[in-house]
Amino acid sequence: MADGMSPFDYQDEHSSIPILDYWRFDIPLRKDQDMIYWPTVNSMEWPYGTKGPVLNISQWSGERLLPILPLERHRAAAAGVSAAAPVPRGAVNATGALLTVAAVLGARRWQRLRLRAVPAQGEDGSKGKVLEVRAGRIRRKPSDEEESTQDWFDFDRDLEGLKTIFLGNPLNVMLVFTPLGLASQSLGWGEVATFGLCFLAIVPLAKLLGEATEQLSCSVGQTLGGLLNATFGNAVEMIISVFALREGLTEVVKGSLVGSIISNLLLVLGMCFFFGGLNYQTQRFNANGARTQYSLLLLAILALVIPTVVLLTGVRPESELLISRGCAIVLAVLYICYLIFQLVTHKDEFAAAETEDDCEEEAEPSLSPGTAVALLVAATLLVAPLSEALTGSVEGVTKTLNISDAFVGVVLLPIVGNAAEHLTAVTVATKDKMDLSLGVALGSSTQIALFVVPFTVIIGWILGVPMDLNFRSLDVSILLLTVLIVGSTIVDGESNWLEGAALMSAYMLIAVSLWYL
Amino acid sequence: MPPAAEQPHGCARECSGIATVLCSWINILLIFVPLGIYSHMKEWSAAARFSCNFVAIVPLAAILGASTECLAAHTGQMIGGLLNATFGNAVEMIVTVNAIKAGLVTVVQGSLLGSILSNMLLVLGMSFFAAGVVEKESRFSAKGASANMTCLTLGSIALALPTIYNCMEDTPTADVLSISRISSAVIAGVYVLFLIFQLFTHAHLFAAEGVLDQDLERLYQPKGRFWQVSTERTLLNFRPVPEIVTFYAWEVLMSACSSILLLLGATITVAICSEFLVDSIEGVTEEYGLPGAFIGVILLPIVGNAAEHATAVTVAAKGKMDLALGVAVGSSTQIALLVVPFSVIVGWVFDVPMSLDFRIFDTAVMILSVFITHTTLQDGHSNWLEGSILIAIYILIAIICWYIPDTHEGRH
Repeated sequence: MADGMSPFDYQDEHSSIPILDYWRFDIPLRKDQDMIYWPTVNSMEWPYGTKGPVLNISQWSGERLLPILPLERHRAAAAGVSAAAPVPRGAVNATGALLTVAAVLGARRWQRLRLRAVPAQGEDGSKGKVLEVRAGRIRRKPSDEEESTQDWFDFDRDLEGLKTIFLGNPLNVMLVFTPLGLASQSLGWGEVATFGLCFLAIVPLAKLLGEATEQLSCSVGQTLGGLLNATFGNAVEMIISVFALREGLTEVVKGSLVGSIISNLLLVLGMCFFFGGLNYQTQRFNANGARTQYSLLLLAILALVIPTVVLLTGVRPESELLISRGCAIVLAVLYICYLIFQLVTHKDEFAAAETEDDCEEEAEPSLSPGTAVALLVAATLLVAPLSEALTGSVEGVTKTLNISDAFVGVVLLPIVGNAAEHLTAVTVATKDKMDLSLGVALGSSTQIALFVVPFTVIIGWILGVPMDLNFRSLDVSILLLTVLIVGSTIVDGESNWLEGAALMSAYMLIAVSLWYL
Repeated sequence: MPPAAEQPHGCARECSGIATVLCSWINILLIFVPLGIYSHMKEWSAAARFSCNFVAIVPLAAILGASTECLAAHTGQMIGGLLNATFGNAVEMIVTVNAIKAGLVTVVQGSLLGSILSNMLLVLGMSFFAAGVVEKESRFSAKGASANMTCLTLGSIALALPTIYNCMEDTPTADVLSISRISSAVIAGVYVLFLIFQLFTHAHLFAAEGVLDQDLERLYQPKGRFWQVSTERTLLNFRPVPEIVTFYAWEVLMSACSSILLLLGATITVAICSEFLVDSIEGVTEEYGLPGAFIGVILLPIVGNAAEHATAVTVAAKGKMDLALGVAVGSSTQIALLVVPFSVIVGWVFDVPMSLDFRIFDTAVMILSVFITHTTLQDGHSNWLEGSILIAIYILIAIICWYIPDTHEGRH
């Protein structure tokens, strides 16, 4: 057996074994005439911002290739020569890994080994700090045998968590507008001032709502957490629509629904593709998952378009509300099916987005469930009067500033509810986690089409407001064209900056048309 | 082809190259070029003018094609096709300026739409068909085509929005003009971005000639990440990567400069002959009374585009599918994203009400054509059936245009 560096030239890049995807890596076997070489790994690193650890090769061991033998005899031969078994166990400490890998020799050229680290007794008897490497998957955090106990409240952790949430995000400076917004309505500073202040105040509150939901879903488990995220993700939009319906502004509500869908699909997705594409040549995402989401979205938009088209033919105008309410019920049922699909039966199709979830990356959520619920309730209680003031001032704003109703409803209002998610999606895209941004953008628009729309119709039904699904022909064609251009960009599973620029320009074109409406 | 050591260099090479291109038997027909100009000046009958200029275009198309291939050997296929299309469209832009100054808004709109459709459906369809007759399946760079199609979708959105806006009640027409003008600026900006994309940041997508996309990305892995691909791994796990730079016989014939000059000269001559051809067509159709929409949307763009059309089909038959795509799809993208906004802005300058409000029929036709072409181009393969489908769709549109009733606006 020959020891030392392999006969091949290895520059620096080749002295480490990179990650293939997530936690799997190939142990490269090098074959040179009748000798086969495999590496010895002496350390493990995880550079910041990369997908997973990297094993650094210290030396190569080699052996003469035996003539074609059955696999077991090779193993026996290898066993006699090098480590005890083809898949050895060795104690590894967190900063350095001592690991000798004996590859299975034979006709195959590559051998895939999965290494898993479990807590082992370290030299000083400490548990959880030392990782043992076995065949399996390497986990970054200690394995499941140690479950941290979950209390409802945990003051130290919560204090830390709250500090990070409030002080860590520069957006929270805008929280100062909250009392100003509330005051401006009662003090009568004018409708434009009220609109502007409430607009600015809701943005950080939406972000806080999102954070609280995330932390709650981390503690509560994957399925229930997904459900929570799905429901509360659009909380601000739902609250705004309830108050707008109470004022009787059905056109504004319809406009804001359409606006939310297109702003998610065009503006958010476009900015994700564009800013991500500035850093990376092409970005990959899970095409299958994207296509599934996209076909669901198409279905949802068709369900929105059909009442409009039916009512355009003018067949039975008196049953307008009845048709819309029926469609709303169908959409609600479809939404429940979508939830079951996403969270229960076909979890794996959306798995790419979920493994990258923030929960997995941190050891545990930074807020205990009780505090998260408290934050959620507090944010909702603040958002409600602010949205009431916002919707109350819409009419005054459109008259004073001479902007069209449609522009406020379709372009301005959705930005409010969506700003925080928007920022998250773009930041995540620049870090090459395109699956996550796509999940946010596509998933959010699907949820609006399937959940918020029927919700508004049903609330209208309860409040006795004639909210129906009869959008204008302009809105319908905008929706269909949006779906067309988004489909053309995501169907190939890759994105580049030009697609982002095209999507953003489409949004600008729509905004220009609506400005003059 | 003489072996490399014996080829002439420098000026001699250029001259011998140009001579090779110009001295083929078909160029005897070049005498019809001055004959066509003379026939226009002396105002012969419409039929005589038509035939002289038509015959004159044939050798010019061949020269155009040859110079495009020479250029493509230097710049890469799709860029070469794009340059061919650019010169052609530059001529069209000049013609459009004249038409807009004369106030012929509907005519301009019809001819622009007709050019987009003829490039996207007829030229592309015939190229696919010709290539499919020769080879079972031709490959092309799907990503380059896909970027073009995304831009075309954006262009159709830009056409659709003012049209629908105009159809709604109580929307003032002045606003449609403002919307159109601002949208044109946005669209022209997107085209500039597309050029940056095509020529600088993602040039490799357009330079590869029918290489499978997965090989392409293997070679152009971003550096500095942990996904270094070592060459042994490539050879072990995947099939050998075909040569990206294929040697073409045209490559050593001329330098890029002389091919551009030849292309320019051929384009100008073609433009002159096309202009006279178009004039003679109008004489013919006035005699026979063909419908106006049919002339404007179908007949004139085909006739005006004949040389590029011939180029695309011949190079597709030779197997250079990317070049044909560059001519066809690149040209339609350019018209939709550059010439249309340019005409709106020219209308702004001369205070002519040129807007993006094409009729509902035109807009719907454009959206559907973009949709079907995108579906066809998505997978990166083509065959003769896809070509015949595209041609059939064009024929359907032509049939509808035949039956559209004439409005009472003047033609040129």
